[in-house]
Amino acid sequence: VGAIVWNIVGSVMTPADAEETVSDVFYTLWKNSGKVRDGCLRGYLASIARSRAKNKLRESKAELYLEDDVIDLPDSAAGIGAGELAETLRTALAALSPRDREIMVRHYYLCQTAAAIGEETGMPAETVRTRLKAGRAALRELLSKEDFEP
Amino acid sequence: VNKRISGIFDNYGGEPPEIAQNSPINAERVASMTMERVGGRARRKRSILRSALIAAAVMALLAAAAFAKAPAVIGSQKEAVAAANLELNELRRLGVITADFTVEYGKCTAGLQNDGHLFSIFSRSFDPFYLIYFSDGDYYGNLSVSTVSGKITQFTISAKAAPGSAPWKTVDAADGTAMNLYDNFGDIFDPSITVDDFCGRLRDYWGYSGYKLISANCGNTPDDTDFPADGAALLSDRGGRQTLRTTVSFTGDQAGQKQYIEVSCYSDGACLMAGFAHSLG
Repeated sequence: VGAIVWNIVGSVMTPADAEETVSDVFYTLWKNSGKVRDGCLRGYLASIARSRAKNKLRESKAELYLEDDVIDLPDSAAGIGAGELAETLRTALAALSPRDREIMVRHYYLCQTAAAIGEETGMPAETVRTRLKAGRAALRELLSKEDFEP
Repeated sequence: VNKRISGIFDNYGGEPPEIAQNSPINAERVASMTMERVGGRARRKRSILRSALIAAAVMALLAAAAFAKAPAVIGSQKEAVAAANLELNELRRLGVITADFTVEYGKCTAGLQNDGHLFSIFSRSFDPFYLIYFSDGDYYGNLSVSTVSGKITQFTISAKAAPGSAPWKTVDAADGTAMNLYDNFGDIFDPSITVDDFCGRLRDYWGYSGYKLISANCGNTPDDTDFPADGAALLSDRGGRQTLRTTVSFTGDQAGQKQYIEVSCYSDGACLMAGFAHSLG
């Protein structure tokens, strides 16, 4: 949880702000403990940590600095539902090599910088950016091909 | 249509913590990131915001202090009369008086004074004040309203005895005729009020922290007592005299003056005075 929160807010907020967000994550877990399904705790925690950290970031009027975060999709993808989007994302990620998938998840989900990913995976940051570009292309292609219902 | 990839990843329901757990927080990296970024524009913004908040708090304190020094300025007879009525309400609320009358602008005189020698019990009384003479049928008298604080700094309230009411005493007037004296103090204040009650309520009204009943043998008048008044005695109890002055010193009175509270029985009714400097009385 700390790693996710730090990746998102650590560059623009103080340690105290980040700690507050982490506390908020566990408070949310405590409040919703009855709703978490068995075996899903880590996924749930990661999701809450990301969501709370992004909210915190929004409150401070700061933005995430991610590589080419905006993707241009056909109009048919405009009204795509959350469930369909999740399924498409899983399919797109499954089509990537394990290394590229990890890089995409680290960057766009855990919000690690290319440099940080490079440090932890032993790749130059530029290589990370190239692989991110490939991952974006795969995602865009899949989202463009899908015939989403309006 | 444009979509954020990070937004699409909001729907990611995978299991990323393995990755996250394999990338523990590197304290040095976090510190360098924090110092690097927060030391830039974000830190300056935060610093400016903090300075602005501190400045605003200081300004608020200064403004509050300024208001505390000069809460009101009475600039005309009309304002003085309006303030007098508000303050009479406050005196009634505190139980200093019960007399129910109002001072009407146009039916009273309200002169601006600046020689507060009669009313120098307060340092603020040296500021100009309006001395208002009023008559409201059943009540008449005068009172001073400070132009600075808006408070009543002295008052004399006479209540006319009801026609046909029994006099307290009948004495010989200077021309040899019989003269009735009335003690209808119940028309001015609660007849059950003691000297202590009264002084305590005046203390509250004027904002002092305490009071002390003292002797006042200044020789100016036989109505003074050369021993402190009994605080438990009724305010209206004059010990058989026509007039009695109770001398009191309020704690925090910057002018340091003793002042007197006078209760008197006159031929037309009872009279209460408060807020007068004793040494000049």
